[in-house]
Amino acid sequence: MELLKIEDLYVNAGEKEILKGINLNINKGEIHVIMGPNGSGKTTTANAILNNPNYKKVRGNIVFEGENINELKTDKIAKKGIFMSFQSPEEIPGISVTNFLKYAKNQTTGKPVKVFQFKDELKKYMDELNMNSKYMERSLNVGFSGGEKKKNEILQMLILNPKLAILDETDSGLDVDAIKTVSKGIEMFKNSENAILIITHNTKILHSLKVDYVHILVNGKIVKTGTQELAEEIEESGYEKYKKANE
Amino acid sequence: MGKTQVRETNRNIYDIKNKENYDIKISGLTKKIVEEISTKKNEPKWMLELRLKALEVYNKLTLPDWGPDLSELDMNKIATYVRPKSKINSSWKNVPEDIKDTFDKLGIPEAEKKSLAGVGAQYDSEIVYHSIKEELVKQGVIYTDFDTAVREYPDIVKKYFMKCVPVSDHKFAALHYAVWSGGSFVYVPKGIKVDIPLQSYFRLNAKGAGQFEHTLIIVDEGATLQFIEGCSAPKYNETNLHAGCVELFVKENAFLRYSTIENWSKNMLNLNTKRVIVEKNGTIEWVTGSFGSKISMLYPMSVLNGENAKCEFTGISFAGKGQNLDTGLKVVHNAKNTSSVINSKSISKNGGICTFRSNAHVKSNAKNSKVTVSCESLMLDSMSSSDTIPVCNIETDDTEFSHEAKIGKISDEAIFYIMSRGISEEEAKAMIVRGFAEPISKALPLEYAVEMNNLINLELEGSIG
Amino acid sequence: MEYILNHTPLKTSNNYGINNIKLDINIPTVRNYDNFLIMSTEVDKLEIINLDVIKENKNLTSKIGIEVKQNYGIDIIVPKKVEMKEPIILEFNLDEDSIALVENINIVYEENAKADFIIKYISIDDDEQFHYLKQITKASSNSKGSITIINMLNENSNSFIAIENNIEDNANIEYNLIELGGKNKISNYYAKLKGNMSKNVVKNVYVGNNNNIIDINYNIEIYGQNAKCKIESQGAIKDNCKKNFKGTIDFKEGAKKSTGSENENCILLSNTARAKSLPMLLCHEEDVEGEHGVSSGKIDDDKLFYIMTRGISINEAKRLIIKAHFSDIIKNIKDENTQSEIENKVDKLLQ
Repeated sequence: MELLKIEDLYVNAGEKEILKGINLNINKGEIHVIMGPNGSGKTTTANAILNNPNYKKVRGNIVFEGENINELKTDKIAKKGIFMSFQSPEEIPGISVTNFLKYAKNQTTGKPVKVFQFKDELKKYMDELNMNSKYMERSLNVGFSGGEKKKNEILQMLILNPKLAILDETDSGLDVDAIKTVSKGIEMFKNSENAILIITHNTKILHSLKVDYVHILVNGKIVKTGTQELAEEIEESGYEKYKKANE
Repeated sequence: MGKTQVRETNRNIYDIKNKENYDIKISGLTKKIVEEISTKKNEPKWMLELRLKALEVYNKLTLPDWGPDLSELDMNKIATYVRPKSKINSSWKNVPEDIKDTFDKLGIPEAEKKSLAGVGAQYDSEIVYHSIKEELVKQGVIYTDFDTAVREYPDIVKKYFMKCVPVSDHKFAALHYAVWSGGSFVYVPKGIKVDIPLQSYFRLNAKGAGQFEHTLIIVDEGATLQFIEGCSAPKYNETNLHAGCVELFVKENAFLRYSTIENWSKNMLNLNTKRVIVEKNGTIEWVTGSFGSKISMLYPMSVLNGENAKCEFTGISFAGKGQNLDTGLKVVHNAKNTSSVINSKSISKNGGICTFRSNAHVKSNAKNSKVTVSCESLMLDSMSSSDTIPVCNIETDDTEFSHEAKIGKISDEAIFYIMSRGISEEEAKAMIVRGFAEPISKALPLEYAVEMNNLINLELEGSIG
Repeated sequence: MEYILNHTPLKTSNNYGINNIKLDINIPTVRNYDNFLIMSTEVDKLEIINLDVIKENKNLTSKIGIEVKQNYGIDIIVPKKVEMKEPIILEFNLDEDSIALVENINIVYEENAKADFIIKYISIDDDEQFHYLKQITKASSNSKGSITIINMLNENSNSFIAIENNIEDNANIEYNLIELGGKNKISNYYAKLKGNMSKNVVKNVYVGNNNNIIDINYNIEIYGQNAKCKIESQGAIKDNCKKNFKGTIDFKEGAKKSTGSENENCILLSNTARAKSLPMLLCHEEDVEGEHGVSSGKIDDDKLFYIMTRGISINEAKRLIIKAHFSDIIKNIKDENTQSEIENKVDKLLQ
């Protein structure tokens, strides 16, 4: 069943035209990957889906479960079940990981959160992700290393349990062990009722995950769509071929 | 989350106006009036003499030519002494019904049961309730209203009164000494540790009145104390004035934490003076939250007179519509190895003005001293303003001095991040603001931290969203 | 006569002794002055107008707050699109024949003009001299340049430098203010960043000794959007020198997305030197980023130790560290000879 549909999407960041006509369909149970060189518009795609006010949609539609979400506010989009893992998550002093997640869970589900049950769940996921449980009481992302921040994003994904998870450069800057942990988190999350969109410029994380579709994004356009083999091709010969074709 | 309800009851609490029902209400400021106050209070002669001398100083001094405009203040219209129809009681049962009701709603008797070792409650010019736990009395701790202290402990009072804040310090210190009334007196004997806080709550009910309470605290050698001060008033159209004075003495190896949650109504001129003298190895910790008043000029001063004396200051002010909060601190390093750590934060919104004003003075004998000042200001809109005016005065080559300040708005990216987790924009902003204030709420006992967070919610309402 | 000078843009408590500076000085009789040189390889490209201030009997006033009869004045215009390759050097000498110089220098950058100026004040002998400069710059849109003003007067002199500055759209002006001479060094810098994307950096180096009084009062007002400004001050004082540094960045309403930063560092080399600072940030606009930092006091012990383990004496190590603080600013000056003149003078002062 269709979850997300992007139609002919044009997006500007400031004055600059970044996305120049993107089309994408994601169904339940699928894992999609968008790959592309730096500056091709990968992060813009994620921000546009979540309607970051710093990115302006010039044309096109984003439809989630049959509803146009172009103009929906970010929190409403999140409540619909879309999650975004940030490339560099913001540091928010004074709000603990636990309180933040508890409140977010309450907002996304619209139900009161049972404190003990919630803490047990949080503890379980943190163990799985090799996160020190001390982090539960620390301020959100403040003083976290790059790897800890990324794990914290995956933790939030597991707790909030969205229908569609967009993972923006979740694998960048991580060592081999951390990538394994993050992949494990993604596998724990994945089921036939949800979908994942992975945004990345390298192929490391794809070694430990089975993906359905790979899209190559160059200069604001998807220039090729394929399967896992396409990622392998990029790993060997890079984006040069596609860059040239698009010039 | 049931928050709306909390907000509404809260606003009502601070705004309860009781019918004016007084024994005595004296307005204006003349020699005769000062004499009358002293007579009504049945004071010893030495105190009257100090008052009259202070009045002379007051008349000689001019208003400050810096900071907020105080020209609206007309001392002839301010009620300098308002005595409620109540004696000091040590049981809430005996406090008159309407007054007791106010303090009930402010949660004072409740807090006393739960988390305080002693309470003083002042209503306009006089203390109406005072109590202290029996075991502290047995240890020799004195906690009483200041009028009683003048009569019962004249030797201690004479030794310390006016010794920390001199009468000529500024015009409103002189005014305070001329018409002071009420306030608290605390003496903690050598080596006694008072682990549960004492609290004094100051409530100003009378329209157009002034409150001039005097607080004198002596923490003797090796003793420790935590003291909490709360203040509030209902809003009137006339100007109210608060010119209290706090004199603190922290002796060798002693520790004092002095916390204030100030929520005066927005017709109040808050021109308060606070100062501490810290001796060898002593520590003062200031924790302040300033939310109320129309104009505040308040710069608690720490004089580090003994070797290894320490000062920690953690403060936040929150200025909304029509408010001009000019706050900050002064610190004087006057001995070897002294250190101070200062963290100040401010939030301004809806046309509010926040000014951080400070003076850090490292004297030439303060060898191997260390000063760290950090201030952060958050602007919630462009109608508001936020000024940082810190003076650093260094007189020795052997000090480490650093000062940092930052000004800005809530980052759009942080709001987006929080919203991407399903949280509304208003709540995202409120979360960031509460997080910004967290170092202060963390330093307060739980009940007060909750009160402060409620105040922040209350203040944010209407500006955000 | 006693003067009260150099008031800060906003007052704080008078008890802190930094709102202004009290100075007891004698202003000598101001006579004619012509002891100067203008050096430029492309002087023809400029428009230079000598002002007849003596004939017009003009008095010089400025934000410092002192009024004195003027004896020199010049307008220099860098015309539209003119780009000067080499810096224009103005050198003013003071000696027994010309003990007082009271002047204004107006520099106009027309649109898209580019030029660097170096203006030096040098004492030829040790007599008490008096120098009072008012330098006004107008930077039209898209212009770019740097102006370096160097005070190398003798130990007995009085130096007053007042600068006023208007910076328009996309113009970028950098100032280097090097205060190495004079018994009293009083300076006032006032810039208005009116233009969007305008940029202004002010860098300051000073050394004070004996009974010097140094009073630095900088104020940058930002009106334009996306404007950037920076104040950086690096100094060292010894003996009984008293220094006040007052730096203000003032974000006016509408200065959206503008940024301002201020950094001051003063090293005390004696226990009788006195350093006061007042780094003000005034903010009437939400969407800005402002910050300041001040550090004062001694040189980091670890740094000193590190250098001394390499066989360098403590005093030499201190000098090295101070010069390292200064070097980023000095290296910025667009003339190598001037750089070494300054370095030599700093060396002498730190002996």
